Formats: sequence, structure tokens, C-alpha cells
Amino acid sequence: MANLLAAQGGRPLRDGLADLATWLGVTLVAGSALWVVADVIWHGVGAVNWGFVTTAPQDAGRAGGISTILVATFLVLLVCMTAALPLGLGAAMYLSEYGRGPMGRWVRRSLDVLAGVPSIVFGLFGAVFFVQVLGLGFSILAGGLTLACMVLPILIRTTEMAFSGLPQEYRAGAAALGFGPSGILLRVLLPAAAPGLVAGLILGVGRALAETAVLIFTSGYVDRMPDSLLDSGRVLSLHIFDLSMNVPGGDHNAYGAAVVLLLILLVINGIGGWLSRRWIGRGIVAS
Amino acid sequence: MIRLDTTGPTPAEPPLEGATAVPHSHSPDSDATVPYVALDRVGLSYDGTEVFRGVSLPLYRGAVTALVGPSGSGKSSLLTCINRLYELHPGARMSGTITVGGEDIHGAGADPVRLRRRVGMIFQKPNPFPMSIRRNLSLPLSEHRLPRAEWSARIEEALTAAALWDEVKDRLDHPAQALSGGQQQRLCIARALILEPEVLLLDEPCSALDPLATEAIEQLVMGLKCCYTMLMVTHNLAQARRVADQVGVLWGQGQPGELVEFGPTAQLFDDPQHPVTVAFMQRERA
Repeated sequence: MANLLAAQGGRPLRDGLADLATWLGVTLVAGSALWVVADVIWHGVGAVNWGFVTTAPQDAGRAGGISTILVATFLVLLVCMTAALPLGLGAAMYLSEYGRGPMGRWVRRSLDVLAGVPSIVFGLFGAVFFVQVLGLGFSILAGGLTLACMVLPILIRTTEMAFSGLPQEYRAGAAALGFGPSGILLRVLLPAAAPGLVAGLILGVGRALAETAVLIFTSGYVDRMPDSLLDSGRVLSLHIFDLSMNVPGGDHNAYGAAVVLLLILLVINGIGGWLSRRWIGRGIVAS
Repeated sequence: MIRLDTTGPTPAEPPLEGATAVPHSHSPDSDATVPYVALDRVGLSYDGTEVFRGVSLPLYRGAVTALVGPSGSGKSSLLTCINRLYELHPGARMSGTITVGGEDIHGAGADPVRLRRRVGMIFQKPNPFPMSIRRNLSLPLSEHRLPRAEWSARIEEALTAAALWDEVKDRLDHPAQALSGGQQQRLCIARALILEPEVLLLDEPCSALDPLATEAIEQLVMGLKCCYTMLMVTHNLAQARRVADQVGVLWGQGQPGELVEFGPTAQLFDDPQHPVTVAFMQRERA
């Protein structure tokens, strides 16, 4: 009995320390994220106005805006997602529904290795394969496709998790109603997994938007308005890198571009969350 | 047209005792003394491990057959043989033959998709899809390419047959998963009925429900029994006695399950013949 009481007496202190450690961890993580965002906004918000987003950069980006950069960024993102989405969705469905054997294990291991490959290595691969071997040159197409290779692992694994997280009862229920394998996948599992798919898509887009190293070697540095997908184009993150590292006096506009990049990420996250809530609210998907 | 005995629950006479079952609209020339579903020496194994073996069982139209027995004796697995759902498990192998309406379910030209349209299944845990009530019911219709013009009428009919229409008619576009457990299970029954099956397999349909919801499902099953061939797995002997016309005892503690006794409900409960059944009844009553 004495031991029991002693143990109970010691518990509040241990619980208190655990609480403190938890709060400290949360505060540190949230605090550093807030610090970065606050710093970017503090230094950059003054540079952002309608003219900044609608005019082309001048004097190596020290003056003017980022209109051409934004166009190149959206085009690279469009190419990347057009290539990565169907491939990613198909691979994730295969892994979740049929990937229990050695082939599935092998594909998963390869994806985990790919997810850990530094982006500069993807950049070098893209520079050799897409730029030289396929002859696409330094272009938005080459950049977008290389970026697709890079976001595929993260897109596939999050999408696969969304599928395999669904209760087995949905599959059995649909099969018992005479649904064929494609009916089960496309009519029952795909809508049910939609919020997870949106999460995977947002992670993929976020990763693609933030990427610099891959695009240095593939889509190039040119900051003029791209004429086509085979034209070179400079993306937002690369513009920020260039202004802050290579252009003396470019910090102000670099911060401005960073604010725009943050805003784009926030808007994409917001749209994803809104879509998920809307689907859940309408009972299209599970909460 | 979904068939339903609208006069409410009526105790059906066991067909084994010669009572006439309500003729089935799918085969008007049917004979109630011939089993609509017949299992002949059926066995199942998963990855080489036998679950049950040698089960021969006649299921009659217009009657509920209950399958009772201890956990692990293979009752639920036996249900999955009748609609070939066991095939979802890559290592599963079935032996013996099953005929539904005189057709061998593995015979030439047999197709699991067509079979599962004829043999509906209700699971232990209600499993509505995470969609609206209406979508849960229209999805099977769309999968089987039934004319869109019929959907609304079929949805209303199925929900009425499952005694759910009055409760949900004003919120068909609300999420199905917001319904109570009992309502969800009735929705699943409606979802099975909407395809107008001939056979209904019920795998412990009340095990996840409270007593009131259980009573509603039991009444529903008894109301539906006029028009369907029904096989229900249950752990609840009192429920088997209330609902079923004939009962089979599947026994297999540590061994592959075997059907040790089968007969009309009253006979099996009042005068069990097999020592295992006697012991099982006594233990369950205690």
C-alpha cells in the first residue's frame, strides 16, 4: 500500500514534466514555422501589389514584377501534375488492391528509396534524360516531367495510404452487390478515398512549388515570357533563389516573390480543405 | 418489383413439414418441396487449412434457415461460398457443389457478378458506403446498368421493403453514415433488395445492434421471408428460434466445421438428436 501511494504521489510530477515537454515541442515547431512566415511577410509584403504580379521582371529581377515567373511556374506545375496524377493514381490503386505480393513489395521499396533521393540527383537525371536524350532542351516540358518523377513517390504513397486506409467492408460490400473489380475501385473506393487523394495532391503540389534544384538543370533560368512548353522558363522558387544569391540588391523583390509563393501554397491548401469538407458535408465521402 | 409480405411478420411453416411456400416471382413454376439453393458436400479451405467440410444443406423458398454454432466453425465462410465471395481471398478453395435455382454456381457460363445479383448479402457490421443514402442505392443500379428512369421508383420500393422509407424519405441526400446502426443495417438490406435478388444471406445481421434495432431487423426478416430464400448465421439461439423455419448446427472446435444436425426449428430445439447439439443447446441456455 505504501508503495502504491508513493507511486501515485510521484505521478503528478512525471505527468507535469511530460506535459511541459509536449507543449515545448509543439511551441518550438509551431513557433519556428510562424517565425519564418512572419519574417517573409514582414520583409516582403511591402513589395507585393497588383503591379508586382502583373509586370515582367526588369534589371535581373531587381525591378519590375514576377508575371513571367508566375506563368512559367504554373506551366511547370501543370506539366508535372498532368504527368504525375494519372501515373500516381494508377500505381497507388495497383499497390493498394493487388500489391501484396513480391512485386508490390519491390515497388514500395523502390518508391521509398526514390522519395529519399536528393532533388539535385533528380535534376541531373532530368538534365541527361529529358533535356539531352529526349532532346527537349532546357524547357518547361523537361522541368515539369523531371518534377513529376520527383513528386511521384510522395503522391503514390499518400494515395495508397488513402486507399488502404478504407475499411475492408466497402470492398466486400461492393463485391457482394455484384460490382466488378473496376466498379469497386472507381465507384466505391475512389470517391471514399477522395479526401486522402486531395491531401496527397496538396503535398505533391507543395513539394513541386518549393522545388529549386531540379529545375535549375531542366527548365532553365530564362525570365522572359515563355512562348510554348518547349521554351525555357524560370519558376518562382528559382527566382527567389537567384535574387537572393546572385543578384545584389535583389533581396526586396525576393521577399516579395516569397510572399506570393506562400500565398499560393495557402490558397491551394485552402481549396483542398474546402473540397474535402464540401464532399464530407454532402455525404459523398467519409469524414 | 421487390417482393414483401406487407401483412407483417407471420410465422412460416417449415417447408420440410410440407407447407407451401410463397411462389417466387423469378421462377413461377417453382416447386416448394425442391430446395432453391442446395449445398452438396461443400467444403472450404484458406491457404490449405480446412475451415469446414462435407456440408450438405437444402434451402427452401419462403423460409429462413438459421445456421448456429460456435465461433470459428465456419458459418460466415459458408455464406461466402453461396455467392462466391470467398474468391476475394486468393488462397481460398471450395469443394463440393452448390446450385442456385438449379444452376451450378461454378458450372459452364456461371459468372460471379450475375450470381451476386441473384444472391444478396447482409454483413455482420452495417457497411453503407460513405455516400448519401440515395447514392448508396443508386450505385448498384448504375453498376448493373439499370435504366435511370427506374431509379427513383426502385429506391422508394427498396426503402419501403426495408421499412426505412418513412424515416429517410426527406433526407435521401444526407450521408448514410449519419444514420443509426439499425437504420444503416436496414439501408444495407434495402441496398441488397434493390437488385431484386432471389436469395438473401444474412451474416449475424443483428450482432452490432441494440435490442430495439435487433427486433426491427427480425421483424423485417420475417416479413421478407415469404418471397426470398434466406440463410441467416446467428449466435443467438433465441433469435434462431424466433425467426427460422429450419436450423443447422455447424460444429468444429479446433477441427474443420461439420454440419452435425439439421432440421425443423421446433424439432431441433425441443428434441435435438446429436450429443453435440444437446450439449450446445444446454450450454447456450445456461
